[in-house]
Amino acid sequence: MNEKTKKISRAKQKSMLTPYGFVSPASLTILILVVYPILYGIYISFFDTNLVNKWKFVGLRYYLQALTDASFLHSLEKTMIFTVAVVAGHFVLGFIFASVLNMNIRFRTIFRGILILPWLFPDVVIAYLFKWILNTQGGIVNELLLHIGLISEPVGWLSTSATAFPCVILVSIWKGYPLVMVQILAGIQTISTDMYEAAEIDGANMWQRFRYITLPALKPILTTILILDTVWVFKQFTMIWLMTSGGPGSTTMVSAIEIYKNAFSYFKYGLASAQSVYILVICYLIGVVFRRLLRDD
Amino acid sequence: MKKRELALAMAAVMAVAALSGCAGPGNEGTTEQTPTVQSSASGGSENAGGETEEGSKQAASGGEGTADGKGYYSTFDVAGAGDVTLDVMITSLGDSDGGPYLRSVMERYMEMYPNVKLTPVECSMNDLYTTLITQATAGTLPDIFTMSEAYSANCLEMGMMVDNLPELLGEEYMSGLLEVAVENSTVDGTFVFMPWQNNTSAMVYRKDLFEEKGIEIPKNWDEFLAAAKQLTEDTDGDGKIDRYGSAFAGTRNDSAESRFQTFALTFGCDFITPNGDGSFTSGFGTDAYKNAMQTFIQMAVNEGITPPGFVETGYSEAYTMIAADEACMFFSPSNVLGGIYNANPEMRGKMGSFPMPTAEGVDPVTSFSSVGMTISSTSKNPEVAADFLKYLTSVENSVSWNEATCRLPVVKDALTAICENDDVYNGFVEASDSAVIYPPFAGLAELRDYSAECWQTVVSEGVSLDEAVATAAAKAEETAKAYSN
Repeated sequence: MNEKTKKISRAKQKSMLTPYGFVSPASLTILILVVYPILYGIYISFFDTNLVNKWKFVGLRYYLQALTDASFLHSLEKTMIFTVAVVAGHFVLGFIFASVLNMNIRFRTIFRGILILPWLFPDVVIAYLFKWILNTQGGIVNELLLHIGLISEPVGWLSTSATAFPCVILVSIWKGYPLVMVQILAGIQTISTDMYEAAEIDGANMWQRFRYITLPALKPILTTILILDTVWVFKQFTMIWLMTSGGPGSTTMVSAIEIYKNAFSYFKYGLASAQSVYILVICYLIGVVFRRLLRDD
Repeated sequence: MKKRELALAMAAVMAVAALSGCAGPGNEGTTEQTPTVQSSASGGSENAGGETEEGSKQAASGGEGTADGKGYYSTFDVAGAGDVTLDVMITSLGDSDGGPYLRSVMERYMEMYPNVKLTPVECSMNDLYTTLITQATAGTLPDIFTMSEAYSANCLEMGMMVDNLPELLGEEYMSGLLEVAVENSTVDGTFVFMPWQNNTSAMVYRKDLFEEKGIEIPKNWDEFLAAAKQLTEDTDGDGKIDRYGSAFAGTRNDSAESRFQTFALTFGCDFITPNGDGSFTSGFGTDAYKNAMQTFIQMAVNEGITPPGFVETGYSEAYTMIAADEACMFFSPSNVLGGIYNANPEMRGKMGSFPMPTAEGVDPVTSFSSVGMTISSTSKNPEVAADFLKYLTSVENSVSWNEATCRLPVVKDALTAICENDDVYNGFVEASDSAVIYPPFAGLAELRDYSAECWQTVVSEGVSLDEAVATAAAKAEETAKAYSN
């Protein structure tokens, strides 16, 4: 009897452990590649350190310093503006192009291919491409505008504060809209045409059909894309760094660049880590706020 | 240890005796030596210098000869060191920066010592310090890595390099280096890295155009401006200016920022001054700094002597403009000539150099800096690593390296040989008489960045010069305080 109970108990234990075996590779990977770096980053933020042989505990000094650091606060403000503008641009273009691609038009497949192109290029390629397109000397934009007489001398698109930030925003929108477009298009295609027909019979105009059918049906998808896109854009580094390095002056100095400079130009790892923790918290809050705002009642 | 010291001393004595016997004293000796050194570099023929130095090597290594008679101060029996593998960081990646040349030097060294395997570890200069930090943290520093005075204090603090570099390189070798370079590589009495590149700043210019227009070499910035205006012209008669007098680097990166630091020196402004008690004073609040910034912006933007897009013009854009005959002057270390020649070989023979002009009342001055290499504290074969570094910087290799990159070396004999053969470097040689080095200051990158932010906000955002300089000065003062003990 005892032997039998033991056997059953062993089998039960084994079956209980099996799921853990399945999830452990993924869990370990996440622990090593995600959780550990985040915890280590938080750990560093409490130290004045060179990461090798100098570890001076400073408590919350860098957190307080970041809150009063005009450069960091300025970069946060720039990041907010950049994020709102770029995400809005992604959604506007994404909706427009998704709607167009959802229509039964000729060469739809070709248009799909063309419209998704920006997303396929790496950030580095896009950044350098536009850096040259917008270059003051010999950039194609200036050459064209000079040729048709719209400007009399070359414009420093990326070297003038009035134009640098809008240019960076426009390029970021151009680079990122295809992902939103593809997701929205996939969502639109799941909406039954019966609903639109019924709405039409009831006398709904185009805006009303969009407002009361398309938007609610896409809400789950939109929430996910909105959260992901906002967080991605909030952390944008590569394109801005390569196009303007945060300049001219501090015109395009978003927080990712500010943190990078503190860490790898000034070697202030503790301060940079504390600033990164703030960004982590902000990104987390963005997710929470959006989920609350957009949840279905 | 005593044996080794004796071998070192003998090698030194023999090398000095043989060199003086073959080449004669002073510059003449080096001049005579140069053609043979160069012919050896291209064709492999032996020369007197090579033979004598081989003799010293034989003495040092117990009579074992070198493979091909290339002379350098070898003091270690590399052939008898067993199988050795060394990771060597290479930051010169492009053709004009000597990437292929460096690899060929490594290959020749491996041919000379088949028991040694040198593995190149590529890293762009812009990513150097980030990479070093990562490698130091992970304990994977290459045996030999690139270092400069901008990071040498951090390198020393982190214990990244061996603590007996002068002993590894040997007294004989060390005495052949420019004193200013050794001083520049030393932090708190510790020799941190073997200097390699002689980055004395001077003005490179279109010598042919100066001669054609009868322009005198400018001694001060007013004369420079007048010369630049004379050079600025519409060469094809289409009503638009297509050749400008000068190019100024205005990007917000270390390349442009360090150039401005040199520019400020010519106005009598030191970015930072040690007070001798562990504290520092920033020079940003001085009239000299303000004058430097004002003149810099004025010339770079408002005088019409530079191509449009100053804020976007970095080092590579500037030398491309000169190569394309769109600009005539640019202040830089000598490697800019390599960039120009690489972009347009027809510019060879048209270029010259002169010392940095200065502001009224300021004596001639320029900056000296150096990028070099050091040996990791974790290297298992520091002696072989040091031997390779000495081979890399031998007179013969330095001359060939200069031919490939236009970089000037810090090895005195090589420098003399190069400069006497090509008058394009005359300005650099003359400037080196008044070259100064910056005091070691860990916050230098921040100070430089404040300056770039200052000129960019004035040029791009329309902020007043007074306001921008005041902001930079306040930040610089804070940084000076933060790094004071």
